Amino acid sequence: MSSHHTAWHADDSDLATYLAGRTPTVLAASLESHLIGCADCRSRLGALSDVAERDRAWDRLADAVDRPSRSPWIVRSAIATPLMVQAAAMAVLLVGLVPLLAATAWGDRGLVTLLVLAPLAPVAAVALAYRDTSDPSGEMGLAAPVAGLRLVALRALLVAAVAMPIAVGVLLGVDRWIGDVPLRLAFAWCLPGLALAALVLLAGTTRLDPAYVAVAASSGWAFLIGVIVVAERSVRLDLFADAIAGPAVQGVALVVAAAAVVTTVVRRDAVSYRRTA
Amino acid sequence: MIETTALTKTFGRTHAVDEVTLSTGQGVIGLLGPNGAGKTTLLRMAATVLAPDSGELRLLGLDPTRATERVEIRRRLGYLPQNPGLYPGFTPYDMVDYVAVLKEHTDRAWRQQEARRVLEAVELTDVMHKRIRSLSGGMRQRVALACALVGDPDLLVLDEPANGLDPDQRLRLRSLLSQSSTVLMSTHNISEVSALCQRVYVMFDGRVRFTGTPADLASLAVGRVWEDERQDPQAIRSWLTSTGTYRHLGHPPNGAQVVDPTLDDGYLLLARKEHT
Repeated sequence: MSSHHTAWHADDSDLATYLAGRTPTVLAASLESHLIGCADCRSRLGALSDVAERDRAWDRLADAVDRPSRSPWIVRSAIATPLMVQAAAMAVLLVGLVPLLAATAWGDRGLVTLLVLAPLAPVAAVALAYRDTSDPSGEMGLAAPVAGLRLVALRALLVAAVAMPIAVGVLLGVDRWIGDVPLRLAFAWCLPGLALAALVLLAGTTRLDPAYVAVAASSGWAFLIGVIVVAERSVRLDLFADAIAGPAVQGVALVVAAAAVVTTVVRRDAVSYRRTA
Repeated sequence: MIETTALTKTFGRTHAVDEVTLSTGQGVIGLLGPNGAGKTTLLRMAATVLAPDSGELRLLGLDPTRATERVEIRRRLGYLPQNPGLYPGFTPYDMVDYVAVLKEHTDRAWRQQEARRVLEAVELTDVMHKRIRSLSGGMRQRVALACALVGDPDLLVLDEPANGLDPDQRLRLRSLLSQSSTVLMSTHNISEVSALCQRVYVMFDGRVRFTGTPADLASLAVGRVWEDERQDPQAIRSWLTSTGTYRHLGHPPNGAQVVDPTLDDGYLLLARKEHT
């Protein structure tokens, strides 16, 4: 470094070494402190630097700081906020944890609990998908191209896709239920669950609150299970297998599910707009 | 760009928008009117958020009541609602990115560039990684505006966009909107209409009562405005100005000092007529 009258200036070689990042720490600190107050040296430093490389460095920095969420866009639109994640997690827990605990605590009666609760997974998924309070974009989201049935169906399917395999897995995973009857039962609730969820989806195209319809549909399902228990005066697995996995219940569920989905698609305009004033 | 024929929307027994017929070209179009006049309901229909009860609505030459055309409109639309529901836990950057996802922009690199562009346009780059809950009301309004600008939409529907903005930011907003293709905006600020809008619609009780340029609106009061040192009880409206004289609206008495009308005069005269 050279001195000039009362002030000193950095040599070109010192500046080049600094630019290359090879200046010892103490000397670099001294140089930086000098550069803050010396426009002449700053100007020479700028002239020595590779402008293109500097721009690339700024771009790299901006890329690192401003990088959008790494979540796939589907996940981002479905569970962007903690509220939405909580809603999805609730639906999964309904079928994952509660029936497992019930089965552990009450044995065969736990199966009844599970049959009551398992179809609630898709029902809850659909009802939660309609919750506009959890959408972080509010009314702006309604004016977006994905708004309406596309977004509701996407959110519901994402939650159901996680929750339903868990529900089936819980049934299959418990040792005491392995065998012909539990295997039938493990899948038997899926169609009724789909039918109930489709009814809730359909409710979203009306002025009815999907959450209330979900509660009503779930209560109706629980009532049906209760009727079977009372009629048979038993909670024997084979009786449930005959009743729930039988062609009557499965057939009705399939027809209801198909009819509700078709009607929803026909009435999809109602979901596309704001449902209340 | 926006055409309506006898467009109607009712809530219960209230006709929020009552057989409104209008046709706008490109440029900035202002909607004026008192609270409850139906401006927000009209804007929400223009933003495809509310379905009309009857009448026809065409946006960008497309029919929003047809599902496929509605999606196409929404792809080319930016909307700033009266009460934007911004998630307080998001940063402005997250918020813009989320809205870009809803606008079908699945490419992350594109969203990154677009988020920077719109946040720079509303001068929020300094705070784009702070939580929205820590931002001022004016900043939140600009976050919502940035969301509306994502994708450089052909049609911007803005409900009181200058809410909460300071004078400097209002100037910036004017500059921003003047670069947009078509803007339909409601406002209570008449000076904004005069500075920004090529055309203005004035609504009362769900109906459009005036259509024209801001100059046309001001000209409604030509020969109907006078100033005097004393208040004239015959005037239909009078108020004390900053110069200490009274400004009057109505039929000027003989010898009155008639002055050139402003946009406020035209609007106030129209409002008075509507309520007498």
